[in-house]
Amino acid sequence: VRRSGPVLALAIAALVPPSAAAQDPAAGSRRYTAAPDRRVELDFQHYYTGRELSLALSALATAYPEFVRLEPLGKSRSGSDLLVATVTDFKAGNAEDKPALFLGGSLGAGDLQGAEMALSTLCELVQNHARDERVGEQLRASTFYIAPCLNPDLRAQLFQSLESSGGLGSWTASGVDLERNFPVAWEPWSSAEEARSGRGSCDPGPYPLCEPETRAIADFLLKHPNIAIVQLYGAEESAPAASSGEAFDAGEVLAADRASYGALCSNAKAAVGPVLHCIEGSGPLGGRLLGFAGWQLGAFGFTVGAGHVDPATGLALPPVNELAQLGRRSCQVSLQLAQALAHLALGEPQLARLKNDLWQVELRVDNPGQLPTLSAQGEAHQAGGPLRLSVAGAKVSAAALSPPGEDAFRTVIPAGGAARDSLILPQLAAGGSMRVRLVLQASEGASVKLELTSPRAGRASATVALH
Amino acid sequence: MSMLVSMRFPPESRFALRLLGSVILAAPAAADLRPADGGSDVRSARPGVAETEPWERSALEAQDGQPAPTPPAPAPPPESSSTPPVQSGGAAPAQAPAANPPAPAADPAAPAKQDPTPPPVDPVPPPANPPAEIKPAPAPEATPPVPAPAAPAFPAFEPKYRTLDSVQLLLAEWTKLRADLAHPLAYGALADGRPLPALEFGAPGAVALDQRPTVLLLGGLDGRSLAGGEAVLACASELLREPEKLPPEIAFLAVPWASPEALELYQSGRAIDGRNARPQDEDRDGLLDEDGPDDLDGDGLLLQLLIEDPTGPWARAADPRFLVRAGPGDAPRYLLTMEGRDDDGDGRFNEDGPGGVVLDLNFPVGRRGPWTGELNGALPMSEPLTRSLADLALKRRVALALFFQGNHGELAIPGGFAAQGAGPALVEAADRPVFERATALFRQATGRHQSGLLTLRGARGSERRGAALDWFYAVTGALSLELAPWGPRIEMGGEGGGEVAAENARFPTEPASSVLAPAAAEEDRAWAAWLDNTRGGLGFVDWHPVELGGGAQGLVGGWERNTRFDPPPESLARALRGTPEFVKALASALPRLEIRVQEATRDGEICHLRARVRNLGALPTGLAVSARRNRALTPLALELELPAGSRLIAGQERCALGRLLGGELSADCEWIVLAPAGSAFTLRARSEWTLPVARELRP
Repeated sequence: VRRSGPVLALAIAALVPPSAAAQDPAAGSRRYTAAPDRRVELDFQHYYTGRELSLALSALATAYPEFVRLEPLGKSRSGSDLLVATVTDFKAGNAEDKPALFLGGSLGAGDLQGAEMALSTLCELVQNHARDERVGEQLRASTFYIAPCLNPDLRAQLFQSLESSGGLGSWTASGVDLERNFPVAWEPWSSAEEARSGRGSCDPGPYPLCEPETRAIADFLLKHPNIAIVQLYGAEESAPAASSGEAFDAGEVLAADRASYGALCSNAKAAVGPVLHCIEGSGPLGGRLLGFAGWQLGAFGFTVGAGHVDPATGLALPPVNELAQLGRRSCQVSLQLAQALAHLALGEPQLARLKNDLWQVELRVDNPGQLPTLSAQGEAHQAGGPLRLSVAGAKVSAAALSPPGEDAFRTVIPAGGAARDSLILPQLAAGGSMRVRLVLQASEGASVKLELTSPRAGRASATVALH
Repeated sequence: MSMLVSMRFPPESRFALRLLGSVILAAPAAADLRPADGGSDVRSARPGVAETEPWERSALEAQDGQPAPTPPAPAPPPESSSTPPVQSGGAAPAQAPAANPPAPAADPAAPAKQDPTPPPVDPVPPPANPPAEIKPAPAPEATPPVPAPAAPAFPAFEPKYRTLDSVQLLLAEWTKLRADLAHPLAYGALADGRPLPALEFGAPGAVALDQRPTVLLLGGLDGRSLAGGEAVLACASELLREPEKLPPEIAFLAVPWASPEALELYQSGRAIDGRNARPQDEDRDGLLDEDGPDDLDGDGLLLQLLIEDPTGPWARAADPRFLVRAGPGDAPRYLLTMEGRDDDGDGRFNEDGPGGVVLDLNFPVGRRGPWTGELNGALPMSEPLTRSLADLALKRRVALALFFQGNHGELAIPGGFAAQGAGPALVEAADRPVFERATALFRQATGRHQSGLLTLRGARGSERRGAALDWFYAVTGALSLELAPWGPRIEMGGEGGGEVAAENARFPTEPASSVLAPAAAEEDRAWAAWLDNTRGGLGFVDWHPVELGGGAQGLVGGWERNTRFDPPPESLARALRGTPEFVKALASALPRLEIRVQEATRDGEICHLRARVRNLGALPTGLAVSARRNRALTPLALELELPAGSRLIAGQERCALGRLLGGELSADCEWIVLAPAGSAFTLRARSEWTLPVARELRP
């Protein structure tokens, strides 16, 4: 596909017949000789126009219906579609029941390449579901919400300026800066330093989420409590840590989650280099999406570096011949993050009859993930939802639990009102576990279903036959 | 001078200026002229702006106790007395002869010798025939004062607690009676589809209301201040009753019930904290509104509940009606919540009741962290009515935003939260003198004894992050004020009307300290004094035990409705006294521009033009905060429209003049233009809070 070619030349969106690999039932077991399940040919040696991007996403959703569903996130101020692809193995469960990552690209001038990185990640996931065990597992266990271009108006303006004048020329951003328009620590004015520096607009808007793009993003995140990680793109150089006024100090605010951030960044560094910046290293967060995600929603926020800042333009715009490689690397980082997500596991329930219709069930609850079932921020602000154990088929007469690190059992008040059919459990740290003891009232022979749910750690269930 | 005054200022303006004069007399000069931080003179410190006018200085130099100085009517010389065409209108020729002698000499109160600036010189055109040379441009921007037709009788306003429907009916009646001035304003609707009661009105004029500088009157945005709604109605009624006295060129937007759903809930007794009806999951358990208040003792009131708990933050004060923050050693300690049971059995009481969000706190300024279940909404601007109000304000040029709500009884300026560390305060130092003037006007109009500036946080006694007041100031650049009609000291003094005076009461107030229990907070003591001395203690339900189920007990008690937060019905008129006068005074003090031509000469095709702008109003042309938000913004500019075939040799077509304080004269703007003979130039002055004015020049 030529960089500036007409839409008719859009080979990127050309559907190709399912490859031989896709029809190979043994592809999943051949790690070295299996070809990717390539049903759509996409080129990653150019930057996409808005229309090309929409067509590419549509083509992927059409070609991989078992893995990709495309939906509108909203519209930009000029009316362009904002699209989000839900990527998961739908046969392995509902997308909203699995812990999730949100990958957002091209939100501002600093991550123009984000659209290509996100699109490349989507392609890598669906093409390698069979031959790469790690990808298949993550598609079964997790959900990826991928919105390659969150600010299509700005992206179109910038590329138009770059291609018409060979550089940014006298271009300056106008209008509201979306990365100042999110709610947490929003300020009505930018600092004088910000106003003087760079070409980017520093206008935070008259109020948070006044722009259709930011409102659509925030609404989507709020409607998907299973999103545990928000990942954006940027330059490989970490952002300057300048701050002014009431812009909050991310390091201080997010100190409670520092261990989690540190572990994930170390993993990424060991695997692909220092390209994963945690929320702490990404500069002042007032009005920014990562600040909103981290502080308000209790999600973990990261920026994946892809390419270096071009001193001439001040933009992170990697050469086109590096895009494919950077895209694959970005996908590796996203996969690592997905692997770190919290997951729930229920041990084998231990049953004992106390008296007539009273039974004691003891079970072990584990989180084998590298992240807690809810960040410390989320827990502090009650964001993200509780870790709940629901009981069907019996009434919970009493309950107690042995919290992580303790042997003694403490009383827990059953929730669910008069039904007394559930327990709210404490959140589990990475690798944490606890024991729960239930006193159930049910007839002999009853089948009791125990289901553990957490919006950001998925669900696990077990069935106990009372006899 | 009085003749000049009567020509230039409408009657209500004279009232405002008389008040202002008294204010200036009463206020120390430094307070008017300098920022509160003791910095240099605000006006003289700014480059490009001329010095204070003599009338203003003479007033400032006057002594307390003297009569209020003559209103500050600047009297320009004939050739430069280019009253804005919109204001001069047909009166311009009549003014010209009167203005022939130097204006300062015509005003004994403002001797010419005190004017440091030389009298404006306007060599061309000749004074003998100024109208032929300097003509008012046909400026559609301006509003000629149109004589108001004989208006039908307007009913006297009777303050009383109304329902939403009766407010709607009242506004509809007023709209009918003043159809030429007022019409319903549609900017938002309730969740059930009913329109929000709002009225837009203004003096007749050529400029549409939505193009004029706007005075926004908002009542009860906090969801509780029914008296605030009545205050807005009282102000609108007073303004509409005498349409001929409406300040020209200004639009008024009156929204008496700015948070209608919350006010209805509050009025019905189903909520006591100003929340609207939007369900919220305050306790984040995935359920909505599952544990709300209950009338435990069956007395028909939803009051407060005290539950004894060793970790509780409250203790009872020496006056056991009131609570204080528990200190070390204080016992017993209590948890404080609304009256009700633990409906959802989670061990907490009433932590997730019906609704809701307080619209007044749903704005973003000062709100830093995430939502933790408070009444300000999960997200700032989450409420459709909040966004509608903000969008309305952003579409209009709001000069004054007046919030009638609260029970502090005073006038609060923006600042719902303390500045963090060394961060700047919300209110710009350069804006403090403007707020001081407004506060002084408030004192004069209402007779209340507010001693100085009071921030919203200070007035309310606690932080109010996300307050609408702060957003209106910081984002729209409006002079934003919260006026609380009711407060503990409103009925102190017993002035007139047979009111009971606290000083004469039989009931002693609580001593300042006690060995048994800590003293109640000062605010509580003030309310106790009011309650005991004017109401015989009736209005507070003493704490009494109730069963909470499962053997637990609590204490229920607290203030009855229409006592502490809103006045008793019989005190409502007293609470509203002076508020319409304050609004009129403030609106009449808004700026108005006049272009003064200093020079308009021609030497062949070379034209020399020089002009200034004067602010005829008592308030500035805008606030300094606007420049903080929009650094490219120029609050005041004088633009030169070039005629066809001309060429600008020197000067800029748009001459930025910064900001003019009340009565202030700007620095010169100069141009040299190459223009064919007979060419006409148009000068146009624009500022944030005024209509543009224009003048045509034929040098």
